[in-house]
Amino acid sequence: MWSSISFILSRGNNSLSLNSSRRAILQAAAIIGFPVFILFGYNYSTLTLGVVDYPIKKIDPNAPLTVQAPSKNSSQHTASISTSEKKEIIADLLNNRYKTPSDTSQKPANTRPRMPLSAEKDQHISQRILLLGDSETGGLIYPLNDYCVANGHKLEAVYTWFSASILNFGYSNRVDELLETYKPTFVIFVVGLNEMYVTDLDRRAEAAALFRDKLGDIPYLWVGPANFTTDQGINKVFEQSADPGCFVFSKDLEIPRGGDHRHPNTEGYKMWMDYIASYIQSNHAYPFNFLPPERTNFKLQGRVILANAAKDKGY
Amino acid sequence: MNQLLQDFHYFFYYSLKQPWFFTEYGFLLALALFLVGYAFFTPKSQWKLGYLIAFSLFFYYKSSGPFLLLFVGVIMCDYLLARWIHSLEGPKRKALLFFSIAYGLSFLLYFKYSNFVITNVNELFETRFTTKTLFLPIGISFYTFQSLSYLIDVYRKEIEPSKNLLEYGFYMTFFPHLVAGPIVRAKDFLPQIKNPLIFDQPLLKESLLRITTGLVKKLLIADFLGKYVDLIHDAPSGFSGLEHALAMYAYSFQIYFDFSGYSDIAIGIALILGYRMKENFFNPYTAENITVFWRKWHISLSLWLRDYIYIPLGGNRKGTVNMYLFLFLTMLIGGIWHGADWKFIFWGCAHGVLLILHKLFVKPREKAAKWSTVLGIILTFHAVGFLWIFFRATSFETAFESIQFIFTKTNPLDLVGFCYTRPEVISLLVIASGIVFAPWKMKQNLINRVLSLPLYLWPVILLVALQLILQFRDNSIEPFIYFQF
Repeated sequence: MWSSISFILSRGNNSLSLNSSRRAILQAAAIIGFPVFILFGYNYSTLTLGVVDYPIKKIDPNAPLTVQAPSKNSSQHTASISTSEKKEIIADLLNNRYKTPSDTSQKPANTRPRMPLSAEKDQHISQRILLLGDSETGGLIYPLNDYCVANGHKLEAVYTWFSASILNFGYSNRVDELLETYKPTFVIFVVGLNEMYVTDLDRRAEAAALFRDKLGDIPYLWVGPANFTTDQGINKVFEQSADPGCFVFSKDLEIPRGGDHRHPNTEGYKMWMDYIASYIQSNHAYPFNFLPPERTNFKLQGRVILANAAKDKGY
Repeated sequence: MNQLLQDFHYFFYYSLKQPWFFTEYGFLLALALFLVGYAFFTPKSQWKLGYLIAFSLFFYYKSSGPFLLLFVGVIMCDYLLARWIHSLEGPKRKALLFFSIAYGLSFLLYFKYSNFVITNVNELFETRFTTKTLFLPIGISFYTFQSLSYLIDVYRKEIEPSKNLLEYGFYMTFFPHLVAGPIVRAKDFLPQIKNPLIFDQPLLKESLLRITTGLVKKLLIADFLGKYVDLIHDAPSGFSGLEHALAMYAYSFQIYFDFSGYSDIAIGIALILGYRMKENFFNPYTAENITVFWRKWHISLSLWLRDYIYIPLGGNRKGTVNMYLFLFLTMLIGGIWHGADWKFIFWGCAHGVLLILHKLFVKPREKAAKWSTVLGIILTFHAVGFLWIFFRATSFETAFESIQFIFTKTNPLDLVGFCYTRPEVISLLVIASGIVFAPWKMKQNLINRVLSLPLYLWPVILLVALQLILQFRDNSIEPFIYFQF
């Protein structure tokens, strides 16, 4: 083949070195083009190859891979959250593919009474819920959404502020804007995972008080961080800043973690949500029906807004 | 099929969310097709230049979109200004040079530094000038320096101005160095246009090796380490001192593999096209002192700063104190060039101070003892690594916070837990250290072995490398770090 191409190229020019250079350039084109062409061909084909249980990935990161991956529960979540901005969530979920949840003392959801889907909706007040907080809210979105749908509430919006701390929520006007826009009847606030090592507790307490004031009369549940290590007092600050019956500790929860050993994994988020829901149902200052759903993976309601405190402090 | 047609349609459009990098597989396919056409042109043909310029401009369009017009405008103005400078003598010649430099810098200053200046003026004088949302044209820092070097060289009569707009356009737009260097000088590059095209099998293998290693360095090593670095710097207060220290090492390797990987791909592609670009890195982390480090790191920028800032300021011709001052100012400008932020200014100043201290206290020796060379390498690597923290941190304050964590909250015993929780980070750090610190001879032997492989194996090698990259990457591809400068 090369000889025929070089014959065509050599017409009108007898320079030997030029022909060999041309041949080498064409070889380069073929060597670079061949593997990329194969990869694109595979990308656009409906075929999915795999080695053992691992699918051979395609160029398009969102291409469906039908070979069964080790993960059983992450695809539902990654399908809806797949942009690069959401890589923290994706990283968690991908990590989960390779981790099996360890045993925990937390009571699993399926051992608790479940609310049938046909339940009378007027047995409880329907809430418009706003979930806001740091990256941990990213994992709570789906289990919370399931609870909301099953119990006749509406998840109005989720504000996931990656890398955020109480300073971002206290000193910025982001919370005021969210409350004004979505007019929730109940707020769930989860923060603190990025403040395990902080020691400037006075400053944090000031921000926490500012945050509390922003909520005004709106009932809320302030959820303490699911500690991955012993904190330096941030949980205490949050507890003291919240109203009685409106704060729940999560620091001693034993829940399975993702690959980063900080954030809970998918199963861990579900268990944490069960714990939060149980608190709302039974111990909260303004309790309402929040029973475990009979089935899960409902279509996501409301709006999900993402921000990153590393790039956008908000104040 | 619909998806294929849709993607083909988008192939010709610029997307802000998916700008073209060398690491885009779509680019590699386009490169292969482009090379088929390139082979048909005779070396000295103006058509060849036109074909290359057209592809380069398309590449820039895919990277920067509408800023292509600005780029073309700059090229045409520089071309005319250089010819005008050449035709003048005396003070008018000098005045026109200053005007050309001011004009050339104006775009860079506007896009890169105006918001920084406004923010600082507002803080200093309590004024309320509003900042604008500005998108930095990709590669503007590189092509501005390239056009300045051309104008200054013409002024100094070191080169003749290009008589042909196509030739000058080719020098400026040549896509391998277009968006992130290496910064190429006209006097090195323009003469190559007239050289006969020599590209044989050994050069082909060298270029393929360059491209493959560049892709692996960037996509497998740098991007993977980058994920860990992002995690730490996105929420610095949430991590221990040891994790910050390891993030420092990870970033040191990330930036090296990222930028040197880009340079490898650029040099490899240029080789296929028949042009030899100078090396941009030469084992920089094995430098035994900071002066040597700057001779091995981002060589094209270091030489540019030396030739167009340090020496014109006076270099070492105006006494020792002035030499130190010029050195400091040169590094300060180097810092500012990297970004409009106090952290970059601090980074440049700190390197300036290190260079001065090295010149002050360490006298050059003919041959140093082995232990002192090793100690020098360790110290230099750590000094450079600590200063990289300012480069990577999201702000000046968080950089100090990170350093404070390293010194006050590091417990070496945490390493055991870290190895357990993040084995992939530890593995990559070990692999990266092995590549960086392996003896040059060993690396050269390995390169020679790979180059001796038969050519028919190369498509398979490239296919395996590209598929491995797909297997390990996450859904997002990180742009090259130096695209932002």
